[in-house]
Amino acid sequence: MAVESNLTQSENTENAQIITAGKTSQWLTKNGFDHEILPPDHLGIELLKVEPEFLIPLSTALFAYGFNYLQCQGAYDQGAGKELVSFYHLIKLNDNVTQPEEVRVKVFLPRNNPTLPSVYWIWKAADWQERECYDMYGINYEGHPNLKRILMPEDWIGYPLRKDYISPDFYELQDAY
Amino acid sequence: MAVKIKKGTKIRAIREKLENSLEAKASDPRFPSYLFDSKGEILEMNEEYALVKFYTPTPNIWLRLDQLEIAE
Repeated sequence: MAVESNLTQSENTENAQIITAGKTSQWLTKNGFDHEILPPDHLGIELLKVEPEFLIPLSTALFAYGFNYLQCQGAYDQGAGKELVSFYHLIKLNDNVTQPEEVRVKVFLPRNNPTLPSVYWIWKAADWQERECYDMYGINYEGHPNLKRILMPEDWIGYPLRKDYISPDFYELQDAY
Repeated sequence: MAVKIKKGTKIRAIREKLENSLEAKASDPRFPSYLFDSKGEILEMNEEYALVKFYTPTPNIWLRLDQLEIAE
């Protein structure tokens, strides 16, 4: 019961929250790039939700709009049975800038087929970051030039940071495959 | 099932239910034996899933409730 009431409460606050489109989102909408607006993060930075098939067109547009630097890329698991998320933190890097413009992009992926295009060909910084997300969550970045494990042994089976991951009890045995 | 699965219940996994499930996609299909042969404790629960700790030095796991049975 406690869980239920918490749920309805959070749903209510979510519905009550009015999310206004930020500068970047308005520009994207004006130019016909489909996306959803999520509530801004704790720093008040715009957060956009994009469908996997529109990630590349939208990223190319953002790059052209001046977001020349992929500050951070990563992934997380929303919980067993829920979606996996791949996120991108973009900023406009320039000379003598004290407050660079920032935007965050999130792509929600089903766990039975977490596949999306790689942004490596737009921001080269995505190289190792996407490999790490692949290694830990099994997210398949299509078009990445070298999508292989980066932290785990290369013949490891399974994606250790998923919430439903089952650890083997003898690591040495898996290492010996 | 006379006793209901709740927080603190000792359980074990059911191999047939776990194999080829959505949850199994995260791991090596050659499951370690501690899942089926030893007792795990439910640490937390939601409507569909339970966080299970096994007494093996391994991290806890979220498993779907129908993949679990009460261990005597």
